[in-house]
Amino acid sequence: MSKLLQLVAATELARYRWTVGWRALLASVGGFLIANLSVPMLVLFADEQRALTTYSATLFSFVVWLLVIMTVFSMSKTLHATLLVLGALLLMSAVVLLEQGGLLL
Amino acid sequence: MDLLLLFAILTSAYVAMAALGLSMDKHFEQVFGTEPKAFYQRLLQSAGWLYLLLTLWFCIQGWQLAIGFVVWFGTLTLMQGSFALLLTYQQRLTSVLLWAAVPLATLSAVLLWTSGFKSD
Amino acid sequence: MKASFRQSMTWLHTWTGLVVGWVLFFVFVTGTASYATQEITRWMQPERPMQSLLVPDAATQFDMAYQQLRSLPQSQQAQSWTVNLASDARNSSALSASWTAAPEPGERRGPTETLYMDTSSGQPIELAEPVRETAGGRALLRMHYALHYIPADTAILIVGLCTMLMLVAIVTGVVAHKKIIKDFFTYRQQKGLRSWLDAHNLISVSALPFYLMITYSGLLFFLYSYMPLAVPLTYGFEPENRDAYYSELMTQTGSGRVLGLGGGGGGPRQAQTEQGGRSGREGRSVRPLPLGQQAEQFTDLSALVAQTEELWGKGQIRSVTITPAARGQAAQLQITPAYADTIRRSRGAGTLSFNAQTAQAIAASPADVAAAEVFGSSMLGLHEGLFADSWLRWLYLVSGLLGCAMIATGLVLWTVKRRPKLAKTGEYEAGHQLVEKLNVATIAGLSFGLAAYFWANRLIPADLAGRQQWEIHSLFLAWGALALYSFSRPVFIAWRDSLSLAAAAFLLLPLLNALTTERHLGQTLWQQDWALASVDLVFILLGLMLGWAAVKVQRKLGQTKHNTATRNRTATVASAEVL
Repeated sequence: MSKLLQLVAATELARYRWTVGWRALLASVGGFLIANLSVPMLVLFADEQRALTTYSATLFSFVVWLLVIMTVFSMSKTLHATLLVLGALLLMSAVVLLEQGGLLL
Repeated sequence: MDLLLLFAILTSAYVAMAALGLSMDKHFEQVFGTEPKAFYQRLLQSAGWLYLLLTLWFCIQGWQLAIGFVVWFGTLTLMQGSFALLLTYQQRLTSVLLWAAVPLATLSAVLLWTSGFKSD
Repeated sequence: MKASFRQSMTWLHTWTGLVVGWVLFFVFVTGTASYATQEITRWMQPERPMQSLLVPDAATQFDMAYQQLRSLPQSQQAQSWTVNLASDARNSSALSASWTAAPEPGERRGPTETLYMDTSSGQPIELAEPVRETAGGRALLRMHYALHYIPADTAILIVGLCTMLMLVAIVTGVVAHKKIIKDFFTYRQQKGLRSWLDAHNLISVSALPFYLMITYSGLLFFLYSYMPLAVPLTYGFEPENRDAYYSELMTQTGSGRVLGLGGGGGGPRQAQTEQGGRSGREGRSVRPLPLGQQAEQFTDLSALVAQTEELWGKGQIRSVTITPAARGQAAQLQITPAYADTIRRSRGAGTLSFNAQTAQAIAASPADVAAAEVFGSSMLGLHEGLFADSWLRWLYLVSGLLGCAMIATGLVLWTVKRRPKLAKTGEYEAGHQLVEKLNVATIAGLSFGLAAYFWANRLIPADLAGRQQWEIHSLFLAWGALALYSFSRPVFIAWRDSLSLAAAAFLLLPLLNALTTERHLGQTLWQQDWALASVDLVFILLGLMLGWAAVKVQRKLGQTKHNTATRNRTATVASAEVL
């Protein structure tokens, strides 16, 4: 019985560690990519002064990263955090690709 | 560096931090041994905010707007720390210094105002 | 992650803080020292003259130095002449005349020679010994973003990543702190974990605006290295796309420079080297007259200096620079104020320029700058605090020290919080041990290393070639040695010994200074050279603080010993009773 409990505890701990590791990956790599992608996204809204908007958006992108990190670690379900980050990444890259292909606007 | 101006921001920043700190139940009790009356609490609070603004005004007069704000934050940091240390190790001194600093800060405000913030 | 948002944020705060704490402690310590870069360098060059007691007006001083520059044979071919006036301004203790030669091919600047002058007689001061080479304050400044012994590009990325996590730690710390207003002044002493928490909270709240500013702005110095995909994703991945962005940005910001590439915020690196190359070639084809010859046609420059001092007030001129006519530009006289009146990072802010031949004022370029650029350059300016006068500089130093204390208390807090639980279960994990030891090795070890840096400056022979490098090696050697020692001893004993050693090293520095140089406290205080004296005084203060910490640890050690002794005694009594 106690062996079984130990085993359960061990797998529980291992599971927890994997979750933390996965979230850290989402927050760091995912957050980094989202922050970088947020710059061309914001520039979409700029009619003129594209360079200046790029600069301002880059200044802001650190805040975007910060928010992604905090969101990933505050969500109760790891699956939700994963879907959110991957979804955002997919959506943002799609928009940026379409824009650069001249298919948008 | 204008010594009067430096003295003014130090005393008024201390008044601001000490008054705001002592307006809290916890710290008032620590120093005076009783719960503060609502009137005193209100008085300390308003004095605190008033001298906070006074310090800002000194800083802006002495250092211009942008640098003035930086000096303001820095001086408040210093005085918040000093007050917290006094509160831990020399409780009585916090109120004694407060009573001393109020007239001194006010006096230096008047002196600075009448001299038009000119140094020398 | 955890049950509630606040708990998740606390968790994030704890672990981000722990992971980057040690690197950040190094960054904060060396960064804080950088607010005194010039003062530290001056301390490390004790051959330089002390504060002049008699300070004549600016025009008189300028005249004395200008005569020298015009008459000395070695300054005639220089690319620029600079007169640093003795004043209350920072690093302006003595009157000096210096001249900078043309740069060697491939170099950015030519060598500068400096002549110190006596303000009363106007004669050059014969230095008893040549001024020693030193790594000085600049080495510490560089270390705080580029570390040491690893390639700068890699180091900058490491520091950047740590800075980003620091930003996370600060923001989550604020979010996680339940009673931020209520505990604004609270420190409950001698309550174990409670006291550590209070201390960490109090220190963190006290200079919170400074920490937020310093961390966020730290990221902006290498903006494009930290968000490397931002511009390529917008403009394209080719180098010419990037250059297009830079040139577009420079016209749109109206500042003619790009911030966030590291360094002084000039044009992009590529463009700069190209320009340098071009001007070099041009310089060879049309060689302008040497400055010494051009000076014969200059107007009465000291009248311009006097006029500017009238305008700015006594002692408000820091320096006067003269550049020769070259490449279609007129010869110029530039007068730099003692203190900039803007928080923005802008080279030559407030400088007045005159045509050296006609005495006509040269209008500064219009300062119509875009809001984003104002924000960016203000952030960089606030980070460096170059505009700070002596009072604000002290405040910057205090805030920086509080930052070091915030990190140190946070790191210690992590171990204090986990100690009782580990003691109860009896499993003193290897991970916990490692954190404890790394804390001693970093916090006390680096303090000792820093003191060793200054010891090395006084003990390494002043004329040894490459002594700068040895000063820096001494820092890391001393740090490494103490780290090794702390790893080999029980944690509390390691704390006590390393802190005592660091305290002694700092406390004895003024004494060492007195034994090896003429620039000790007896001299500097007597001559009222406050800037130089304050370096020694800060050493004493740091020594006292470290010593106080050592005494605290010693008391704690005594207590634990006492406790174990009583516990052992009761145990023996109990076992005796059983028997």
